[in-house]
Amino acid sequence: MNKIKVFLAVAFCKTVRFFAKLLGRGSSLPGALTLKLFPNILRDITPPEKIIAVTGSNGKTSTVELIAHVLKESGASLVYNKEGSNQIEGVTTMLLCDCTLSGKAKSKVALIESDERFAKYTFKYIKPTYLFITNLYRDQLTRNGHPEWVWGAINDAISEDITLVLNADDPLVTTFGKGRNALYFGADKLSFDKDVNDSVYNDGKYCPICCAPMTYDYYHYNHIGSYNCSACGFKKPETKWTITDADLKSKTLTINGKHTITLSFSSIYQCYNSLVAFAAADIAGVKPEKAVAALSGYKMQSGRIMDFTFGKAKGTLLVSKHENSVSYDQSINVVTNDQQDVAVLIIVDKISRKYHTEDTSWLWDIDFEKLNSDNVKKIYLAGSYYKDLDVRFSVTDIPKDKLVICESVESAMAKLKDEENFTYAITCFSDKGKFLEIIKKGEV
Amino acid sequence: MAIKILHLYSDFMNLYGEYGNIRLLTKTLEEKGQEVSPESKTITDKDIDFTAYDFIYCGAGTESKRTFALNHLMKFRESLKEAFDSDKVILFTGNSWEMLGKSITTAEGKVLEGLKLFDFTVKEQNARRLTGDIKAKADFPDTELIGFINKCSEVEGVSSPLFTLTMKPESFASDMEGIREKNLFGTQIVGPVLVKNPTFCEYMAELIIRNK
Ligand SMILES: [Zn+2]
Repeated sequence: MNKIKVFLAVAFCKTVRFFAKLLGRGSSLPGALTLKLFPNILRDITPPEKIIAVTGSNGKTSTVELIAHVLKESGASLVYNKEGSNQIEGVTTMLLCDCTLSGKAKSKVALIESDERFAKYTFKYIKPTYLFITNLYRDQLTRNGHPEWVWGAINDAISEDITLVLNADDPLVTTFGKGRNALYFGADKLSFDKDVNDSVYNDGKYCPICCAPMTYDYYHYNHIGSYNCSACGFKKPETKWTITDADLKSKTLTINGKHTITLSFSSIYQCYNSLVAFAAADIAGVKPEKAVAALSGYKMQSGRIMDFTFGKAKGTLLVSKHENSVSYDQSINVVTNDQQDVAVLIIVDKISRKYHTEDTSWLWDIDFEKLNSDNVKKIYLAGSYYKDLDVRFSVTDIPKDKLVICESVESAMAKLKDEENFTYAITCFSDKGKFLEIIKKGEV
Repeated sequence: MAIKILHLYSDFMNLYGEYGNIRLLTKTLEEKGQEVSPESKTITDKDIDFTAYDFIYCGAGTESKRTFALNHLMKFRESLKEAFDSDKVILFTGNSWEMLGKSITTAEGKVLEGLKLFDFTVKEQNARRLTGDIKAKADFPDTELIGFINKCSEVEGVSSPLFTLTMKPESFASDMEGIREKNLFGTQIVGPVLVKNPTFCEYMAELIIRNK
């Protein structure tokens, strides 16, 4: 009976997937329909031997792409959710389509990007052997509540047979390891570290265990760094995989003192993504030399970075996430680290493509003050939320004459056409479409 | 004399850009020719005299941080009550105003004693986050206000709500929102509510000046 059920479920899922692909539909639908007919199907299949899952606020998709790349390069038999459908439906599609009709996984390793809030539903059926948790930031609070709330959701998903692989530099993430089987990755003190957290807010100020004030030996960025609490002894744990050196100018990073990777795009965030990929490769049995070779010079496909030309303007699009201040801070860092004179275009036109909200509180968590930098000559603020941007910038010390307020993307682009400074366009997935369409047309 | 503003627990009751309220209010007061001196007090402060300020503000925090704030604030309850009784302008946003009632029952079932300025009770749960954009109506300023609520609690027993919600997520039990007693304003709206509602900001600025 079970065999027939598995056969039917796998055949059904593959068939739906085939037609869904023809119709240009995503990878969630086949799994969703299969789960309707066979709710417990994931329990009845034989999954891959090793299941590596990745969750956290930022960097999931990039990290999964990097891990997949390294594993594929080293010849591992791998299945992963390439399209980033990271809830149970997408994971079901991915696993069933990888099965034989008797329900046995063809791949040895499954790599799963998992939505942090829904991991508990996915993991009920498919237990990761290793669960990587990258970080916990303020992210889409309009649906996520807050980082501690998300912490609770992930915590509910962790059973004791899962080995955790945690970012030791993020205090809230580290607490998952308490009393559990956990390995850690992190970065030693780096040349560009800071002694103080000069972000708009500091989510690492108080100990996540006992709420006493913590002290940091150094900050890599935001609340990511080396912390310790003198009241309860909570501190950054020893790391198994460690960035021992990173040079953003020469675009290199060294892991565990001896494995040096050359990055095609260097940022501290990309260093962390590469470190996670290195650790995952290690876990999957890939030799460090092979991982280094695969990671060196690799150009991300899930490009958050894209060059553009529009009229006189030349520049780079930095895709950021609305409702996620760390992601914006990351883009602002790229801008202020540039040696040349630049212009910046910030677009907030639609906050999310997945759900409706008009909340712009998150603009106040972004370190826009940093754009008050000599190399930033002009800042275009554009989109239907231009007024919200305008008020936000009005409380910074950025000189008014640098600001160009534009009530629509179109009107900003009309002005941008004559921009002579190299231009960074900063916006979200939900807004990049409109921007790129105008670029493609070459006119407004 | 400068207007003294106190931003209470600005370093951790700041779920979502709450400092924007203070920045914009300060700017608004300054544009009205007032001299403003904003100040922060937090958990490590051993001495707070609430009566020394013209305006007291506290923003939203996570549930654990709120408990942390409540424990600390309890030591200064008498001073806060005195400030309230003497008509000081007070604004508590997000879950911070929930500290002002009789008790808070946490999701774990623990009953925390409140500051007891008012008689309402609060009950939290951890099954479902209640979030969404809202629109609200009040009798001061008489324009419609907008905001975003991000909570896991329901409040019962408020005798004088601040707003009537004219738009709310289905998950919210009541369309009465917040509290208004004397010059104390409590609302569940998180983030920079004064930034999003210029008329509210203007109203608060005028009230603070009048009340000085
Ligand atoms: Zn501690």
